[in-house]
Amino acid sequence: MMTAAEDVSLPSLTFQLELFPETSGTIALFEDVMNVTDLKAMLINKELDAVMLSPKMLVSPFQIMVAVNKALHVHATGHAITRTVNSEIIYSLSPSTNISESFKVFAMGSTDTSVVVIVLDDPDQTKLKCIAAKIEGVCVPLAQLSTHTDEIMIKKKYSISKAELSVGSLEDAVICKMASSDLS
Amino acid sequence: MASAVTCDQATLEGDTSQSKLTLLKQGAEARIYLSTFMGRSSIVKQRFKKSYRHPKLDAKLSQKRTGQEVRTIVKCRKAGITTPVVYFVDNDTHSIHMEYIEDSLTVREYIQQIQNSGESNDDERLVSLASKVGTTLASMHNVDIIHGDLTTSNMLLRQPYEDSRLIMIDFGLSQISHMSEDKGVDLYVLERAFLSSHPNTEELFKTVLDVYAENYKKSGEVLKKLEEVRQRGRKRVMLG
Repeated sequence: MMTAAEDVSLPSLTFQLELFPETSGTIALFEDVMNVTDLKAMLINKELDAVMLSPKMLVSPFQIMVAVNKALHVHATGHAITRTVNSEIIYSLSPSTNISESFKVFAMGSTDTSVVVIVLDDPDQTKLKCIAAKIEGVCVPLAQLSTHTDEIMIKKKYSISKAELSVGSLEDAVICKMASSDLS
Repeated sequence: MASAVTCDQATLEGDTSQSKLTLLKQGAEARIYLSTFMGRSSIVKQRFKKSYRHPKLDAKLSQKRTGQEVRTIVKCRKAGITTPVVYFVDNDTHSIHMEYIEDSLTVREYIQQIQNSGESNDDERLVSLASKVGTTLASMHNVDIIHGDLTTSNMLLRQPYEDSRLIMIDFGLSQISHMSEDKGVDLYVLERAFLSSHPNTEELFKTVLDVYAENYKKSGEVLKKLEEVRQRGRKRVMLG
């Protein structure tokens, strides 16, 4: 039975993965976050089972979904580069094979005031609500994500050429770089 | 977290019911399925096992070719040549998950439609198409991409066809090479495919080559090679 308090759900996006039908992912965006440093410490101490990203390097929820899919895949097939699925999600966003660089660029940084939170297997928001309670900020609809996107930075970090943007969107270019990052 | 990583990856190889794969085409090396990826329509190109090869060699070859194919696609996009977006590469089942091009027609079908409607071969639409093919080949060869299997079936147009960019697909036989020989053979393969699929298009193909020549500064050498290849065929004579 749902109580009134549990009924208030946070704005978030939950998605299914075709290749991992037993798993789902949930994405939420927090603005005006005041305690980024504390949150970072909690992540390092494994008190939070979540991924926290800077929204600057994200063009769309699809980009996050692609990263989650790749992270689950390499973990299931034993090709993981990092230790946990959560850290692998951050690494999967990267256009290169440099681990520390990908954390610097994509993970929540100490100067961020907005944070994208990803949790796995949390369709009823149990985990997300727990995490939200520790975030001193406001959970806003994911549609706001694009207002935080730093396109110039994305073009630079993913080294996206003008010609490449003539054949498709920025998102297309980013997805291609992510998919081919571990080839060479 | 553990539950997230335990689900199996057998869905692609064996049981096709779970990930809703529909077989579209079967080639000598791979099968093409229609599927969805994170909610978007997608194409899955899966290289299948060849039982006559040693399993280790088989895996190595498949992985190498899958990687090469993706690398060329990415290089094409970087150079401004339209290809499907690569969503995900699965090195275990040697599958490439990529964008499904909606509302598209192969160039082969497009030319046939126009020819069947009784238009002459100097129809404006055909000439403009030939020029698109010429410029696209020029930009591909300019960055040393050899497609390896140029046919009018490996080029797509999106609706509305007249305004569409040329979308190149199937880079399964592609390679990177700066040799005029390889580029000449690339053109020769297209010429043979073009003229045999579409009757009375000699003039049209000449337009392709003319536009190619205008847009690629090393085209002189390549066209000379093409002439050589026409005399002897695709395979090089390796005597003495």
